[in-house]
Amino acid sequence: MATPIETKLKDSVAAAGLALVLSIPFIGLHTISTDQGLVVESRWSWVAWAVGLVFIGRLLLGFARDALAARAASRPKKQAKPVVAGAPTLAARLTRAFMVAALLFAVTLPFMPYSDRYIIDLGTTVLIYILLALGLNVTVGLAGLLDLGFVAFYAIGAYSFALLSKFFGLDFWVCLPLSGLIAALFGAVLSLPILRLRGDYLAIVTLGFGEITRIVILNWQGLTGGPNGVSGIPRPGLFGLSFDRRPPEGMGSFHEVTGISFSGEHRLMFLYLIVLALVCLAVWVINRLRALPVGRAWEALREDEIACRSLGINPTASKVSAYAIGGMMGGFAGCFFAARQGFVSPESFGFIESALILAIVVLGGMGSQVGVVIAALFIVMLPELGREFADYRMIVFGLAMITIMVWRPGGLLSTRVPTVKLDQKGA
Amino acid sequence: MSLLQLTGVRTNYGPIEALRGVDVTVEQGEIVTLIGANGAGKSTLLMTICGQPKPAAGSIIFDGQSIVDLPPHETAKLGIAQVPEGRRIFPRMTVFENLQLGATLGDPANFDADIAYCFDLFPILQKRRDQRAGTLSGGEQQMLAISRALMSRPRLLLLDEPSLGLAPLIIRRIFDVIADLNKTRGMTILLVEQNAYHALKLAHRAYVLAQGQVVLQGAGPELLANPEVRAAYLEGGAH
Repeated sequence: MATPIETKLKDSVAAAGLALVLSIPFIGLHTISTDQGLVVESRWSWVAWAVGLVFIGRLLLGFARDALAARAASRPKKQAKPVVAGAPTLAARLTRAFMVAALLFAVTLPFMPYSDRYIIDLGTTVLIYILLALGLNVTVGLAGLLDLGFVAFYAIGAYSFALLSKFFGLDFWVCLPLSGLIAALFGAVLSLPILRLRGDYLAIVTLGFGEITRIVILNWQGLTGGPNGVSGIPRPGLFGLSFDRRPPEGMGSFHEVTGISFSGEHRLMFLYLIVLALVCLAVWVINRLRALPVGRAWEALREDEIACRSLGINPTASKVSAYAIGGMMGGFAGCFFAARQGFVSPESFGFIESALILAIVVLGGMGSQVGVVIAALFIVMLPELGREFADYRMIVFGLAMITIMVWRPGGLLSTRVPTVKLDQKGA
Repeated sequence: MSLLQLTGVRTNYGPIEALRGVDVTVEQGEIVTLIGANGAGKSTLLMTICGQPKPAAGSIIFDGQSIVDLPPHETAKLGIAQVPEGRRIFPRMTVFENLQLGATLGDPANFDADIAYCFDLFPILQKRRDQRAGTLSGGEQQMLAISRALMSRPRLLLLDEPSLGLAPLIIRRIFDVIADLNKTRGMTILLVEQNAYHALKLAHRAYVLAQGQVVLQGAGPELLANPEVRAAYLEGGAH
């Protein structure tokens, strides 16, 4: 359907007006520091350019849309393909191939010649977010329970390790399961007051939980060190071997025992491989859970709570377990984060982290594990890749988010994969 | 002894009295129908049996055991399966997964036989087995909802308006299956319906509910012939 030229012009003028309003503070005014301090300088020509570009762009978009619509109309309608039960679809096969390729790439990444400190470090960050998002995906994606305070579990996991090692001298491998358990316990406790809440109210309470956790950590000086955080968290070792040049008392060192010459990168590679293993474990465990009654109950709960109850599924148990398992994954990620940084402080666990993790889950397509992996890559890498844009990279980031939401409103991979596939005898 | 016996059941939603002292019994192997206008308390009665909301007064005895204090997932464990109003299938899951969830309380050893039985009852479901349930038509969804409830081999099947929003031909098919379930499997059924003609025709006994109270009861065909019932619920004759 072609729109008349007047409408197109009107749209373009509106867009240009909006651009004018926005570009005056963003582009038009500009601060420079001089000897007299900060001085505001105006760049009106830039504003004019921006407004002009938006006007022309909007106009062209209108014409492009008409052209596309005309082409689509002239093309013969495709016949809807009949649904073949049981047969793996092309999308399913592609997803599988992608997963295998991604795993191969991830495993070999640290050993590649082009992998330097920066790449391994970035990979580790991406994997931490994947782990976090996989955990949140259990509560939000599978069980359909919103959680805006997921960062609390991340913080609890990190502080569990930091404090256990500080006060009891426990090492990473002992604390990893403990952190997971403690976070799971908090997840179960959080789930109790919110059993009856839905929608907005659930959002508010979970948001509050995230903030309360952060504020308690910030103010409980005696235990957590408050804003100073906890430092000197021990690095994880490999079967009692340290990756430091001079291993602490009672530990052998990796480079001496293996005879490989010392390199600071070995520790980074080791950390990377730990978190990769954790992610693989999480994917496997969650996949197994989905096929078990508890996992199926989560998904049924997301679909219809009343129907669940009439089938004998206990919604309380399902919700508690969903928050506990999700929280546990967050706890693992937190424990690893503390081990990697060697230092934790409340600053790392603000609301923006919760929002970021939730964005990964939503963008990935709720409930899809592959989607979560892709979205985490995208969300963590994009600001990194955009470093050259410096100040503008958050704009690029926002633009990319909007594009995805317009293009795929259900998330990158929004089709749910059934937990059971049967042979084709009934097809 | 009756399979299900409700005595003086009162259920309130805040200050509103939805049920005002209802006595209903269901014998083993019977089809019992509840008819009544909108807001008469039919669905409330079924939900009260399941355990949510809880009755303010009265007793509910299922197979000699009081179930007044049990939450819905516990009453389900005793063998009471409800096909809820508006079907409430799991739309993003496949037909097969819906049926699997129906078997949550069932014995896994019976699973294959029960699936085969459901597919025999509604062959269309077999064709749609790996399709998302949300893509089924209304009639197919109702068939799925009934099949899902049957998967746990319940001792009492509660059906809440299975004809809601369906075409006459599909309604007939659904009621045929209900009658058949009762005849061949001896399934005890408590049926709530607006479609009084069909529901009374196949009922052994029936109750008419109005404003939270039983105003009439009797054998199904008897009520079907009752002039009051005809005037109130069958205006326009048989459909």
